[in-house]
Amino acid sequence: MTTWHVSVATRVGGFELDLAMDGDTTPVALIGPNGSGKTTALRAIAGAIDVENAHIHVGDRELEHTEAGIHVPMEHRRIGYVPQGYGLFPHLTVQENVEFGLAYGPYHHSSTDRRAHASKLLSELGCASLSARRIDRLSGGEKQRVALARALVLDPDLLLMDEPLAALDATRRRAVRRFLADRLEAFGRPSILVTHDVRDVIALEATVVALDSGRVIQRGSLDELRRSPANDFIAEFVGAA
Amino acid sequence: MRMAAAASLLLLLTAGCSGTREENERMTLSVFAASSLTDVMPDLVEVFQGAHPDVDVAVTFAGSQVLRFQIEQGASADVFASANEAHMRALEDAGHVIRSRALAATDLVVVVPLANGAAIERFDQLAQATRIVVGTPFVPIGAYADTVLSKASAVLGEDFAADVRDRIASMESNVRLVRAKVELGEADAALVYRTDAMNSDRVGLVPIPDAFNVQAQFWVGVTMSSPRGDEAGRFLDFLSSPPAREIFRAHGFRSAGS
Amino acid sequence: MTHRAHRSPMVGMGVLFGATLVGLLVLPFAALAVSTPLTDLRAGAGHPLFAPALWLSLRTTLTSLSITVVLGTPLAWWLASSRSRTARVTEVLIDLPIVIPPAVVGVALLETFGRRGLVGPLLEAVGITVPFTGGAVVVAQVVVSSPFFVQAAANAFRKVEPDMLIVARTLGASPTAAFARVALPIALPGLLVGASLAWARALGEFGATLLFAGNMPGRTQTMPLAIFSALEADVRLAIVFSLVLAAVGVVLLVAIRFVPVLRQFQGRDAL
Repeated sequence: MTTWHVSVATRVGGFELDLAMDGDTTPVALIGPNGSGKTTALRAIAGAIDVENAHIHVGDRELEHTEAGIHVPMEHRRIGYVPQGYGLFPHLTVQENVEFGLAYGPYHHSSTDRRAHASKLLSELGCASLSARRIDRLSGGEKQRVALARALVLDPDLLLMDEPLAALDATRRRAVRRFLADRLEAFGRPSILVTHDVRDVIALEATVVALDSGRVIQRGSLDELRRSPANDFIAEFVGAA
Repeated sequence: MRMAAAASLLLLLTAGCSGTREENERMTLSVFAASSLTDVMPDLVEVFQGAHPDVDVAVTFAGSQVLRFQIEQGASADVFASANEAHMRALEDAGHVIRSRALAATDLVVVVPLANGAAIERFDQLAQATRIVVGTPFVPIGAYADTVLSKASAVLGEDFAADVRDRIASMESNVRLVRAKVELGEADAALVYRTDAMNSDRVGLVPIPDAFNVQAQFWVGVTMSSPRGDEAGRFLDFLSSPPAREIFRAHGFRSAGS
Repeated sequence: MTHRAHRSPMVGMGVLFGATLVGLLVLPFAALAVSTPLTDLRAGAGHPLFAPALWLSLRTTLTSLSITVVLGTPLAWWLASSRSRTARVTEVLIDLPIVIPPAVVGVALLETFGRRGLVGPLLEAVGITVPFTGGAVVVAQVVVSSPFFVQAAANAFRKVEPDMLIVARTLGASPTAAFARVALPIALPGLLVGASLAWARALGEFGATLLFAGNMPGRTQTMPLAIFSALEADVRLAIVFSLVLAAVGVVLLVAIRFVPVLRQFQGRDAL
């Protein structure tokens, strides 16, 4: 059972982030009002922003430990990241997007290996027919799956997703939610998802971490939060079930 | 009743005949002058305007060939002062200029930077220059310079002229630009009018032997299209008057045809 | 029965203004084209000033464009990604040659690289002379045209979503690889527009070239300088030269715009 820990204290622009959270392979849902620092937290974990003081480890790998002088650069953290809007590369096909992680630097594979690996992943996610498609020809649900495949191609130790279902319409969301829950279970590794929808939490059976103004103000299961929500936002969030 | 009408009509007609201007109306003469006249023209204009308080003179300076081109294209100049006869003749033949006469004259000299890094003290040392600047073939100073070199090659040999021509680094469109390159120290030597050399305290002067030198004849003419032909003619006459000749002499020019 | 939407008079005025501007831009070239009989074109093309000037223009602008792109792309990337004050100040400095008249640029270059200039004597000491050479033509072109490229490129890079670069990095790409494989291809259309602007500006450069490089057929007399010289000899010659330069400019501009379209038809580049 892999456990992980994240604590970050830093200023980003005028915003102060000071949070600590940990977990295991159970998905963690990061919730909070707009501007509470959710996306910033994900970016800090991925290593995309300079942090003043942080301690991040996944399993037995130290990714960041400011006091010990440890800072693993982004390309070596083995973190999968699916941003808001999916961030698919518009100048590459679906196949090339998914193969991207296997093309460079530390994880370079030969082109035959790359193709095999990526194709396998695309099949698992039901996207095999899309492999030659251009990104602007994909539907929202298809983009989501391709972005997930792309993030998973490196077999990351930790998966970060920023509002993975927000861009989808209500009908599609239900189907993709189920799909995502299945995939994450199959993935079996730690994952942190930012979401605004309590139904995501339910489907993923996730632990909830609630942020406000850059701090963690509550943590627990959905039931625990329902019983005693720490603020109005959380009350409204859990009440919408 | 009829008398009054006739009288007022007569008055109107005579008023129309008294000239194109009412009392106290100023007029502006537009003069296109070769850039070599840049320093002498303001003095001439000042004296003329003093004698003719109702006339303003506005002068535009450029290479004679540029001014000729503009007049051919219909620019509204009243007077054209050219650094050679050729451009004036061309305009006259094409009907753009109606009255012209020789104005003043000067000859050519070599100018060098004050520091004179190439140590040119005599004309036959011209080929010591690394960089020589001249006018384009169509600006009078360029054509004159070419004549000087051709004359010199008859005595100093073809190699001399060829050597000098090899060292030409740039051809400028008027003599003041040529002189400027020497003043900046960017050219080792250049051929300009004597008057341009005398007018600058930032160049040294190397004379050209009389046998090679040319007489640069300045010409002035009134344009066909000028609506102020009378005033333009008066300006022309003034330029040939004794006071004007004195001003030319003071700037180093010689009289026309001397 | 369809009901046509009411067109506000503002739209009509907008069309009128726009059409006037387009007319003003296009009419001179149309006039140029119609005013020249074919015989004149042939005569002009055969003139001894023509080929050297055209060739010099193409050679020098190609060189200056290459220098601009090679030096300017990393600079533009830095301007787009950096939030430092140095970057903001640099951006203003880069625009200087745009707001300064080209003749002033020419004088300034003389004051820098000339015999009495800031660095001229140092360069002369190691045998490098800049003014009045083909190199001076290139330098003048780079100075006046690179700001257009750098600004356009920086804007194009700014439009690349930061998230895409973060994803690229998490997928194992070094900062350089993220720039080269993600930012650059996405920003390419904007970079090409910037390059075409810079190329056009360099092609038409006159004032700084005249003062700094001088006017010497075969060596420093680019097409714009040749046109100016031709005016002194024969107006029709100048018109022919102008027409050719305008045509060259149009062809280059269209070619540059076409490149991204071509890449699409050729299929993907291998990763």
